Amino acid sequence: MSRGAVADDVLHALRDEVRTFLRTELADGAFRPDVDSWMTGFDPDFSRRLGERGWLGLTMPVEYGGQGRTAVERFVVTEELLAHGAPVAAHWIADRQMAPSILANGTETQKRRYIPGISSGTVFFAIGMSEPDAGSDLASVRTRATGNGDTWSLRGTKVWTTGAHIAHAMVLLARTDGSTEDRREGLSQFVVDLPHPDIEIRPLASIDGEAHFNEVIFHDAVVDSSALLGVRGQGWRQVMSELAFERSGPERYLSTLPLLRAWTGLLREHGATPEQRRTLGELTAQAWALRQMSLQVARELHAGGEPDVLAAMVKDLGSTFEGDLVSAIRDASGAIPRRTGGTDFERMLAQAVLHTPAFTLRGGTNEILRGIIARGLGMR
Amino acid sequence: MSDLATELAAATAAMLARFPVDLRTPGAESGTELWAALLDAGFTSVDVPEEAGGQGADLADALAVLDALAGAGALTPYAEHALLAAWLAGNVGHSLDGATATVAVVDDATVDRDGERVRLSGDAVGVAHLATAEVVVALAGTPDGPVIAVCRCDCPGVRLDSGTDLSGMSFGDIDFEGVEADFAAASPITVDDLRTRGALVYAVALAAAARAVRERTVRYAAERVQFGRPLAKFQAIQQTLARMAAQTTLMETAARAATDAASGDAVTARNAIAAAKIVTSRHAHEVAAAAHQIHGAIGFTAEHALGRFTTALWGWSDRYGDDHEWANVLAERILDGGVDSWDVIVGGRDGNA
Ligand SMILES: Cc1cc2nc3c(=O)[nH]c(=O)nc-3n(C[C@H](O)[C@H](O)[C@H](O)COP(=O)(O)OP(=O)(O)OC[C@H]3O[C@@H](n4cnc5c(N)ncnc54)[C@H](O)[C@@H]3O)c2cc1C
Repeated sequence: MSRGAVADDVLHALRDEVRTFLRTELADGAFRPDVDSWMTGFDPDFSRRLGERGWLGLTMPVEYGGQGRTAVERFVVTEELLAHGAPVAAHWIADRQMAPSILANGTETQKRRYIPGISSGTVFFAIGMSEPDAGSDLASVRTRATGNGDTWSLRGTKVWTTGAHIAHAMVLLARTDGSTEDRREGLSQFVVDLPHPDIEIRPLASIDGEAHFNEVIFHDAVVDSSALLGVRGQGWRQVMSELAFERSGPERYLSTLPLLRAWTGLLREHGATPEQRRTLGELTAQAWALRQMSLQVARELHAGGEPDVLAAMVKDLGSTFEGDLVSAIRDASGAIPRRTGGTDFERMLAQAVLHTPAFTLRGGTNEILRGIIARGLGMR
Repeated sequence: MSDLATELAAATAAMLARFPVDLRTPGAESGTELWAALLDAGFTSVDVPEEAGGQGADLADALAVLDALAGAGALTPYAEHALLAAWLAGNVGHSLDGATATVAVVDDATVDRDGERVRLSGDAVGVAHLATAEVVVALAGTPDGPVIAVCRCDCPGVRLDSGTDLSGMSFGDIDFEGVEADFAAASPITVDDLRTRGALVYAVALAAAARAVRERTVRYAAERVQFGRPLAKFQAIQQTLARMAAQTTLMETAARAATDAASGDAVTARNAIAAAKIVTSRHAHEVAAAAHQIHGAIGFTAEHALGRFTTALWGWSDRYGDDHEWANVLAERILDGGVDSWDVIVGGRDGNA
């Protein structure tokens, strides 16, 4: 076993505990399994209950309210939540990447201020990277932070900011020095508390009719100098290591797994044709292999490695698989998706179809990820 | 990999350097010297029990040799002989004594005993490397349970219908007509057990061939210049190759995970092997297609090495069950066995699985 390995029985026990909790929650009607629940399932009470059980901030040190456990244990907890379609959106970004980022780059005050709340499932975060003119080309961000001694003044516009309307804070990538021509130099990160009187948050509706992300406009919003995260000018490097956490987790291949499980339930009830059986077996096998790869990234991250190429591979194949699963089940089931009305399965299928474009865009498009892989192969 | 597996892989690589493989396609059986060296070194009975003249090591160690051979494009009966035939015979205490063997599954067999003699009748379909085999180790399914029968290929009643597979290796069917076996015993291994092991063996071989294809294609794209720059500098090529690299990594991951699972409990092992065979068989075709596209016409020629590996990817994907067959096995587990698909995905063993 690799470094960071945890005894099998510890992991089994943890998995059983999470499953028992989820069964109880389902029996109580606390949630209905959903696809892409890490983006759509906003339920602060549910997040708090996870926090109470010690299942958030799992890898954070105990002194900051975390659990001091391993990346593989976190992997087990998160994959169970996702496979059950549990409503984890409220805390997802905070727990996945902001806690590790603040732990790595933050001041003692920032760590004490944010990590305990993230770990208890009561403090939620948004990611302020993309801008109207800075998508894949993230280094061209224009949002400016101007230092005035004790404060910073923020001006610019962020877009596609998932959950900004419900977040307690966002981590912002802004230019502190130089100009856009300086690209990766002169960028810095800030932790900005929300809401803020001079920060306007406008929900943007998406094709599923919901508002998951936002446009966030900074009207010379003033924040304290202590909002700087990490080192001034080192924003690019910090963001890149944060993206390893963002890109490699089980949510990059499991977003639509609840659809597979729901469909399996129907097949058990109504019987399955040979073609349906084949589809079920093939999807299960592909998910099994992707999980092995994703787990490998978790182990390498835990061992202090930088598995960016492997993480990019997981996200490229995994997010493609999420969409392939939807088409395969749609073909094989013959079900007609309905956004409203119809059966639970038809609604779930509709939501899956409507979310499919997001899988291969969010967190860095698959074209960009393949560019990272090509660099890893020495082609660029 | 265990220390032994690493050592075996290195020793196999050294043998391959000593007896270089002719990589033209269609291929001929790789030099008899290489095979003789493998036999001499005892590499052809790595996980055969010591009582039966083997090394008594683990399956994973034997698979390390196979991985090295398949990755180098060597066409030998290693999979059939070492991993299946010798292992099968070894399980009933029989040693092949240096004879080169292949393996045959006879689903509906008749095994008659007249005194000391045992006679086998029945058909085996899709037997690889039958032209070079001196003996065939048959696993015969009978109403009284499976029987392992070892027969000489030149024995009366053995009818070979021998052609070639996509790589050019001998491949065909065997019709046993009351063939007198040199050795026969009731088998502790079922036909399903053998097929499962065969599927793992070919999943590992497919992953090794895919790795070779990736390495060769990356190298070729860096060397071949068009429009004044290497192919590797074109984004379209980078995108195709990146996808191919991800798929081969997935194949390798699947083969490794199934190898690890194989030494654990039988149900988890079979699920993992089924999944690995599905994933390696399915992606084999996409990897081969991308490699040919990037190589252009040169890769389509008999002289070029690429064909050795792509013909293997195409051919091996249906050895011991193709993706459809194994998908049915998983579906059976889930729909008829009442197992949650998620439990199959997670596998039995958290730390490794
Ligand atoms: C559901 C969802 C949630 C999101 N949440 C957040 C969030 O919380 N915070 C945040 O900051 N951002 C968020 N994003 C934004 C996301 O990171 C961007 O969409 C992504 O980085 C791509 O940028 P873009 O949309 O501007 O597309 P563009 O960069 O304009 O790309 C358009 C197309 O061109 C391709 N392309 C671009 N450059 C190249 C190149 N060099 N080579 C080849 N092809 C190229 C792309 O791959 C894509 O196919 C979210 C996006 C989605 C869909």
